[in-house]
Amino acid sequence: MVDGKAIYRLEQIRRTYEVGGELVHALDGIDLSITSGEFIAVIGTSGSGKSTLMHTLGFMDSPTAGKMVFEEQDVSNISRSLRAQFRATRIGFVFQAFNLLPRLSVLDNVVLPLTYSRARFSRKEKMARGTSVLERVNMAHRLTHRPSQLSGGERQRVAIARSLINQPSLILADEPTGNLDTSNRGRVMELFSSLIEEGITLVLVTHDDEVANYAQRRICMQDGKIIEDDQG
Amino acid sequence: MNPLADIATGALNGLREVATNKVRSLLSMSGIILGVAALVTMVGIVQGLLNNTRASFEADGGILKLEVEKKELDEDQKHLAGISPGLTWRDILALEKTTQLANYISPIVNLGWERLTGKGRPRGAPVVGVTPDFINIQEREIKYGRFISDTDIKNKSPVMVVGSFVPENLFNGQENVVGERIRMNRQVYTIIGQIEELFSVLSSGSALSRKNRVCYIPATTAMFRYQGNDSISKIEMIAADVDVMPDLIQQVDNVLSQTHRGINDYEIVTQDERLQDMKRLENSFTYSLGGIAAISLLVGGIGIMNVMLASVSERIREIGIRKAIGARSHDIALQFMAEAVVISVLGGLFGLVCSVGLLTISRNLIPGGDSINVLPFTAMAFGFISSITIGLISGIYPALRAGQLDPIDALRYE
Repeated sequence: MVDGKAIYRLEQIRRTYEVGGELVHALDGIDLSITSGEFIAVIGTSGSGKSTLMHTLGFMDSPTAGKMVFEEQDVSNISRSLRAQFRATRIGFVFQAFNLLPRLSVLDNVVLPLTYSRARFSRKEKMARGTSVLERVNMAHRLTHRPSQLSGGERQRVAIARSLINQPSLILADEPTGNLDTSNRGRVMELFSSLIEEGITLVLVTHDDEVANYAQRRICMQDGKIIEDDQG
Repeated sequence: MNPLADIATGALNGLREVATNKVRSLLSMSGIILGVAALVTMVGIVQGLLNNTRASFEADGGILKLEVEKKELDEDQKHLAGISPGLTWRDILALEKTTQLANYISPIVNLGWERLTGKGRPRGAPVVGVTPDFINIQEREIKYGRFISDTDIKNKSPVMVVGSFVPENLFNGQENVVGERIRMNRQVYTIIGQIEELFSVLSSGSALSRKNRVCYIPATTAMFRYQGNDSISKIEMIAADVDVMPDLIQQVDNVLSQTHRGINDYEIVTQDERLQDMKRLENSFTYSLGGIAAISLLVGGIGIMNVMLASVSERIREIGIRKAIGARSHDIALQFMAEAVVISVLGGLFGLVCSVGLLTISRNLIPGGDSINVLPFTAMAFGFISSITIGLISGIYPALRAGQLDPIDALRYE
């Protein structure tokens, strides 16, 4: 379902940290264009810069240098508040550790991003949208359960539902199958594939070649650089 | 999000946190509960006590009261000591005739502590000679019978008006002793009236307790049938109005100057000093209570801050998740502020409930505690507002700390 329209463009992105008096180049001149509807797998060894790339794409971190254009808007040097707004409305996150709030029900976890989206939703609207996305991930029967009452695969499906609630342009998944057994890993990846068919854009970081094989495009990173971009 | 929704969500989250961590929340509230309860209870009791002091002051004539007392002669008049008349019945007659600015005038003829015999064993009590105006000067109520009349003054009648001490102790607790006879130094007096008892928060030994013991006889009886001269101990009068007080003082001075032929052996005393003392007492209570309340609430605030800092540390990962899905720094800060305020508001409310309970107990336990207000609204409002303010102040630092956390670091926190 790739429609050919670039939603994200990174030009010579650098992210440098100072660790123990030494400069570490976590991202070292990244050029990347993400097209709407793409499913990209980012692979690489630990410390290759995958997570930093995810955090930069997800507005959790800012580049030290370079240009970022998101949905035709230069977002290279935007404020913390605007970054938060992008995270709330245009980006969906899926984490390896699920990162659901244990005290909230499944439904409350899923609708939580709406609270921060600056748009006004009535409780009824929130519940309707939450139920709808939970139906998409086949978790509508677990609305009132707490995360602790779910299996790992179910928790990840709830986390995916949460990432979908604001109808984002891009979903970023950081090792989403890292904590799952083989059968649940397969189910989660099938779910991602079906979402791609519905038009979702997904960037997924993984160590797992089998998971990466689901993607249409594979980007391999090393020492903060993209060393291979296999567009299938 | 709009600000109202922010606050509502924050308050809801705060309530959820309090409900989830009941024991921790209760412990963090305890400082505020104790602070508010102590503040409101103490203010309620002290207000009751001050009301009694004020009532006692008013019962004694209040600010309108003027007294004329005997005084040592000044150095330049020492040689006139032999012809100094002192205060006498003639002064009363002169003042009654000429002083229109006073509503009531009465001499006080102190006979001292006398041995009185009723139906039981004899007991000592102060006996004072007065005129009919005295009952209005002291604003006392007659329970049974009547007070001393003009006829009693004119006839120097052997009659007596007694306080609550006499029926209780000389007539074995008899309810109404009007018409009974009482003996004082071989003279027999008929009891014509019984005065309503005065109550005070301060129980036995207080000024009011002593007042309940005093027995009154006509001033003329005291002077001419008992003392054998027209000398009086002092004069008490009530001014028509506060505004006329300076004129009344001048008028009394003029009259007495004439009756005393210029000998300055008297002094005119107003209640100003007593009023100032009372105000000083009120102020010292206010400052002491303010200090105690401030310390209690400060301790409560430190407790809340401590718990909120612990809460931030415990929930770093949650903060990271919320930030990752779009929460801004001030959304997080507001959430923690709202929690601090919810804790302090609940603490304040519990404190108010405790204070009502404590005041009700105090009202029932303290003798004469009827004047204690169980719902001192001003103190309650002050206590409640203070608790919210403390919650806001003590929540600021933990909230800012939570809001400033970096989402990546917070998500990595184990």
